[in-house]
Amino acid sequence: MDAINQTFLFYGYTAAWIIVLGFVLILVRRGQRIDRELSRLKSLVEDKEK
Amino acid sequence: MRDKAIYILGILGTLLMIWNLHTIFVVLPGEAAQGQIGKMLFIHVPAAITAYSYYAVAVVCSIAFLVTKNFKYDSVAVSSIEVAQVFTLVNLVTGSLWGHVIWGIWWTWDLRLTSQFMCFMLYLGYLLMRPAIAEATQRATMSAILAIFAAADIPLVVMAIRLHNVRTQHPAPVLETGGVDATWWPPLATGYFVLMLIAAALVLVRLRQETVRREIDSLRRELHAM
Repeated sequence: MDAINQTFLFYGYTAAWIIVLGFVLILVRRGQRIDRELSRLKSLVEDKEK
Repeated sequence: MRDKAIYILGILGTLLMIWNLHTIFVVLPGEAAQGQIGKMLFIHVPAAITAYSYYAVAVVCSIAFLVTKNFKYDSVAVSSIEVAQVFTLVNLVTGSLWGHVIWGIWWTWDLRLTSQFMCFMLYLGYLLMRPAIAEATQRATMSAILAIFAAADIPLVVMAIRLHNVRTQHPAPVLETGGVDATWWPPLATGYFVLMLIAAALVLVRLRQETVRREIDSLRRELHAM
C-alpha cells in the first residue's frame, strides 16, 4: 500500500510541475511569435513611411 | 525592471520550492491515516488558494476596467486568469490522483469537485471567448462581465464542504478545524508562498505579452490607415 502511495504522490508532484512547465513553454513560444510579428509590422510601417 | 522582477521571483520561487520539496519528501513522516499520499495536500491546497488569489485579482481588475475603461486593468485580468487556470488544473489533477488511492475512483460528481470543475470551465470559456471578439473595448467589457460572473462559483467551491445539508465525497475542511499537525503548517504555508511567487512571475511574463499585443493592434490600425 505504501509503495502505491509513494508512486501516486510522485505522479501528483510530477504532473503538477509538468503542467506549470508546459505553460512556461507555451508562454515562451507565444512570446517569440508576437515579438516576430511586432518587428515585422514595425518594418512594414517604416517601409510605408519612406 | 519588469524582466529583473521576473528573474528574481522565478529564482526565489524555484529555490524555496526545492527546499520545501526536501522538507515534504525527506523530513516529514507520512500522514497517520493516509500514509505518504496525504502529502499531496502540500501541492493540492496551495494550488487552489493560489488560483483563487489570482481569480480575485482578476475580478478586482475587471471591476476597475468597467469603471475606468483603462485597458491596463483588462491586461492584468486576462494574465491573472490564465495563470490561475494553470493552478486550478494542478489542483484538479493532484486531487484526482489522491482520490484514486484513497477513494478508489479518479472522479466523482459531488458538489466540491463539480463546482471546482465548473470554475475551471467558466474561466476556460473566458479565455476562449476573447479571441472571438475583434473590437478591443467590446472584448474587454464582455471579458470583465464574464470574469465577475464566473467568480460567483468560487464561494460555492469553498462552501461545498462546509454546508451541513450537503453530503460530499471530498474530506471535511481540515485547515481551520485543527486537523493538520503543527509540523505540517510551515511546508504548507511555504508551498503557498512558492506558488504565489511562481504565479507572479508568470503573470508578469503574460502581462508583457499583452502589452506587445496591444502595440501590434495599434500598428495594424496604423497600417490600414496608410
